Amino acid sequence: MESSSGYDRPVGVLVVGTGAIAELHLAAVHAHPGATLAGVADLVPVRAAAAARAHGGVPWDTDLATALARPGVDAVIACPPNDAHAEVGLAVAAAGKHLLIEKPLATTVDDADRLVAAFADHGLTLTAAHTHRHYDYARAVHAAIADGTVGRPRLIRLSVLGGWIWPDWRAWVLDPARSGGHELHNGVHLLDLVTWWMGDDPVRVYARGRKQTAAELEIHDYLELVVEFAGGGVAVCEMSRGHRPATLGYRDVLVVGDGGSYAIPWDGAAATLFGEAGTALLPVAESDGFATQLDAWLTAIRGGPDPMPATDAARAVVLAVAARESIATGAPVEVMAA
Amino acid sequence: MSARRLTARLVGLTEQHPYTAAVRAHAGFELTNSDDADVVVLAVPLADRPAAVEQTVKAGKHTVVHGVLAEDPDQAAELAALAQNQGTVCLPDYHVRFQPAVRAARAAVAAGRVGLPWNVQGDLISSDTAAKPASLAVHAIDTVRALTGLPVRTVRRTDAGSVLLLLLTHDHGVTSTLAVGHAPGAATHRYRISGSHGMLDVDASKPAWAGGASMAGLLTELHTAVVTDRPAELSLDDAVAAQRVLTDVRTAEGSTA
Repeated sequence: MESSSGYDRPVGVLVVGTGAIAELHLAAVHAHPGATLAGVADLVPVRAAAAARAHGGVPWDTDLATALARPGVDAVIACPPNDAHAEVGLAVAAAGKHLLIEKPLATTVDDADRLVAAFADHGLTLTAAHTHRHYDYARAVHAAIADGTVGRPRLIRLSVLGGWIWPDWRAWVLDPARSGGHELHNGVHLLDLVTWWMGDDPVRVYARGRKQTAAELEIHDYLELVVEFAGGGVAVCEMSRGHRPATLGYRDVLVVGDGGSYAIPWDGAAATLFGEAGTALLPVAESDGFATQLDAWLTAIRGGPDPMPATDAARAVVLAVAARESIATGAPVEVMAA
Repeated sequence: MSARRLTARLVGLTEQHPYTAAVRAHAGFELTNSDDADVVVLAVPLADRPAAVEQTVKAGKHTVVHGVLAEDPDQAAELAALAQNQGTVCLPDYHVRFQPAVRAARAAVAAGRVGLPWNVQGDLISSDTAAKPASLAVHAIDTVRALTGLPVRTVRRTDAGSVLLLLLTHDHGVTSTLAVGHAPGAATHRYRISGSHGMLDVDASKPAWAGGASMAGLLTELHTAVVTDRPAELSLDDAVAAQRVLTDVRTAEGSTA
């Protein structure tokens, strides 16, 4: 490591929370020469131990403070349930470690602001894992808008539609008290992207939600999030885990500006496979967004540019909370310009 | 196709207009400049349109009207009622519902191939930068009504300048969202219907020959209604319904249409 930040060796990373998404972060850590796995932590002993064994026999803990105090821990990748983000994040800041935390940054606006302030006060890097920003399609859209391809964007459409992916009723994502609802859990991805692409301050959110898979759901598995911007542009985000067939994987982008348009249609990033089992799309091989994200975070830790500022993650929380309120009331919600 | 040909007079349409070519190519019509024409295709300025429609209908002509019937939706409704009372076949120029891909989609939805529809998304983005979003919107609104068979109950509008966004609600909790407008070089015209058992993506800009086919489809609907005396599947009432969606939304956000 060669920066003035003090790291002349790989950054020691502690992974907190060892669920499915942690595996993607762990794979990125293993693949990056500038990082090394320093340990894992999980409230559930068997999970922590199993993860440690699966990842080279690194130290494991069930107590966060103990894990943070281990030698060699410089930074943390945190993947706990959403309602634990604030508690875990504040503990990491207090311990003087950098943090890459799964989205949403927090489940309340106050908690998001507290996290931003805590890391800023300590001069530490806080990054929320808005991984879509690191996907090829998202970067291509951002570049097309930034280079003036469409002129001033007036409409952005982003649809990410799929079928049911969560387990049974025990899944914490389905508990709005733990996940913050689908608006916070996945909606923040799209709300952040369209705001980043539009390059403007959001001023109003109007949202519609459905409980498509089961009437008994306490979260909306289909979201339609409409964001209006200070400059008069508008974005329509669709986020679905309620579509049929359940195997659906559909991503579609349309940008309409006063100088042109730019689209990545649902079938525009795939080949078509005509096989004995029928016709199917064969998605193109995209770069690993988790790897790109990790590299960006490590660069920011070393004092480089931060492509996903914590304030942007906090803004996404503001928009998601506004969307949740809009769905509940049926009325648009004004949001503060960033 | 019946062997009977109808004479058609075009009013306000240039030789280059797609409808001129569509009428000329249609086996059921023969162009004429005579006042004795069976059919009149009206494309006159809005200020002159109500009087032109009234005159044509009262003369017993079957009529195709471009654009809204009148600026005042109540006056448009009076004209629609007049046409119904006169017994002539009068259609608004809502040809998108006859576009081949849309026709196939309407049949698929009606056959239950996506189950119970619960959402429609539509984009009609024209390369014609002179096109007014509201003028495009009536086509998209009519297409959603034709796809779902459901009237529009409420509407919320966001005006983004060259793009107009309409968020509609229908019966049974069905929602739809339409983005209409223009951008240089754009050519997006599509509808996506999500249902309880599937999803249908319709690219209304394809196939390449579909533009003429949609107008031919509307003309066939007119011809069949005239020569067989069966009601056409759309009428000037549909024009009034689409116009009311836009008119009401101009005056009150979240109004009921």
